[in-house]
Amino acid sequence: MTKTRSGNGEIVAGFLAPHPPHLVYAENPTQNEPKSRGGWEPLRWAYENCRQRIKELKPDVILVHSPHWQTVVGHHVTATPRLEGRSVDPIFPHLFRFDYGMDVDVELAEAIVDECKGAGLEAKPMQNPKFRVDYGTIVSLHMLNPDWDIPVVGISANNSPYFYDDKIGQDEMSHLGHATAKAIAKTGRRAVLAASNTLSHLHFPQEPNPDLPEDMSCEHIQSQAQYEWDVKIINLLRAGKIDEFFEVMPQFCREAFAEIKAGGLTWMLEAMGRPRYGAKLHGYGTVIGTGNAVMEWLPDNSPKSDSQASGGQK
Amino acid sequence: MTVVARALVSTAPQLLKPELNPAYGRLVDGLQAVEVDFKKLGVERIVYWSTQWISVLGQMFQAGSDLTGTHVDENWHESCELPFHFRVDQKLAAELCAGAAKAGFPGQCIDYRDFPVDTATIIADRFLNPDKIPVTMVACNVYCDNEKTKSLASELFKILEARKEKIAIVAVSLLSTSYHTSTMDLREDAIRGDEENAFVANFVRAVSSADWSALQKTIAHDGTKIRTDMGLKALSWLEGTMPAGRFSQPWNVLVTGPLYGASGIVAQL
Repeated sequence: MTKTRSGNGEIVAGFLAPHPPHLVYAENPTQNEPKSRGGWEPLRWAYENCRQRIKELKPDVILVHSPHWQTVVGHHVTATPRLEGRSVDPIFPHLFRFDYGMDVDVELAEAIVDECKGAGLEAKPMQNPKFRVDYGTIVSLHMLNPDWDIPVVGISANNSPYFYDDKIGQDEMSHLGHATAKAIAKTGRRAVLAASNTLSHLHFPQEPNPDLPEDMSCEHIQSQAQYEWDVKIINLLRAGKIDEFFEVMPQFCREAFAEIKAGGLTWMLEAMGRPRYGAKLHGYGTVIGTGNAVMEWLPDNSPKSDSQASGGQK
Repeated sequence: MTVVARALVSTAPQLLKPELNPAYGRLVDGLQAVEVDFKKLGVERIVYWSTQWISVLGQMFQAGSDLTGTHVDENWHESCELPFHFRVDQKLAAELCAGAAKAGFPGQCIDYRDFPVDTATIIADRFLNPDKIPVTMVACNVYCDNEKTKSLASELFKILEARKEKIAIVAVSLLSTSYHTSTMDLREDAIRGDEENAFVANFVRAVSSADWSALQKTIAHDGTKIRTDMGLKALSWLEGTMPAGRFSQPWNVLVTGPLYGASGIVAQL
């Protein structure tokens, strides 16, 4: 499934693609064993727009950065041609037991590892075909492309944002983003990026209705403060106020326990050259109290899009 | 009395290659000594609690009817592929789950094919349980602080004490989690950080001499300066399983050592 090309690759779109397993559970795809009566439709409708966009863009590859593949030493990148098996979510096993199969763009994966190493980052290819792919990666990929007909590259979330301070951790993700953009440019891929992150991340401590996890009468934001933070962040991103976003991000992460701390969004925005055009909000919704926004960055619509073709460097 | 043994153990993929570093060999020796002790005591059930299996929506108990598979470690996927098979006492898991719910800790029993048991528990079981004694596992609940964790453990202890089997309670946790963050030669592995090393030394001194006020001071003072594993919730878990609800007798600390910079321990309580 991998292609050999060189030069002129580009990032054709980026998505903030949150991964609550509830969204896959609610959709009832054949791959997921638990079945539901639906639920969380506004977020799933938001993803439908993204699916349509991705079909139109005809990308060669979708790359996803997932906080549920956490690595201690460096950035790991899936780099084996085929990954398949059953992924049971250790946290929400009653909702997510998914039989996955995905083709991996090994050439791009190896190029990312090489670019990381060239930039002084620790990086490692993940070449074990028995590796269980995490639910964050699978949910984001499935919600963006349920046909699974586009090769993928999974990137781990190095633990540095939690191990060191905010600056060191996010700088690490910035460098990873730049390395990713270079690898895409050099390998000639048309790439879609997906930051697999929820916004505010404090949630209910217990299942609100254990007999019906999709009981939407129980669904609401965990706190008003979280909601206000989410709205503030979404508005900054919609307005393309990228510097302001990065300025408040550490406070957002502290006060709303935001999952973007894990680095996925920083990785994506840096790979896209810190886009100063507005992101499109496809939808916002809560899942067991967390705040989730499905958003899209489309470089071709932006006057700043020239920077993308050269690899997204600032 | 049916809870006949308690242990705090730390495990990691590095222990599968004890020949690489004498410190790994000593940690393995410690685990094997615990296993020998379990045999002497006639342990018939093991209850694991691991910081690497977290729950967030209530409490989870392992009740897998077919808990078999191959686990590839998320970090060391090139070298750590672990076939595993657990005999799970489903009835015990159900009793614990029901007791927890009654005590205000609702949750669920987990019985799903291909459930990803965590690396630390698999390796602990490999060393402590070669004869495949029936087990269950209790998840480390992120939304339970130390006090609630202790309270949950106390409630579950009552259920365990009412059983007829001889039971071992094993907490799987590191002390500090200051891993090396770059690729290193495992032969040079050592506990990372002066403060971490001082913490481990003070910790061992306190628990070995049953100086619980010194332990509290060490945790409150030194523990806040280092990256402890889940806020050392393992201690709250273990303390809750003591008959009096608190530590009294000195611990038998068999060994401490590095696990890729983090600090590991094998101790019997």
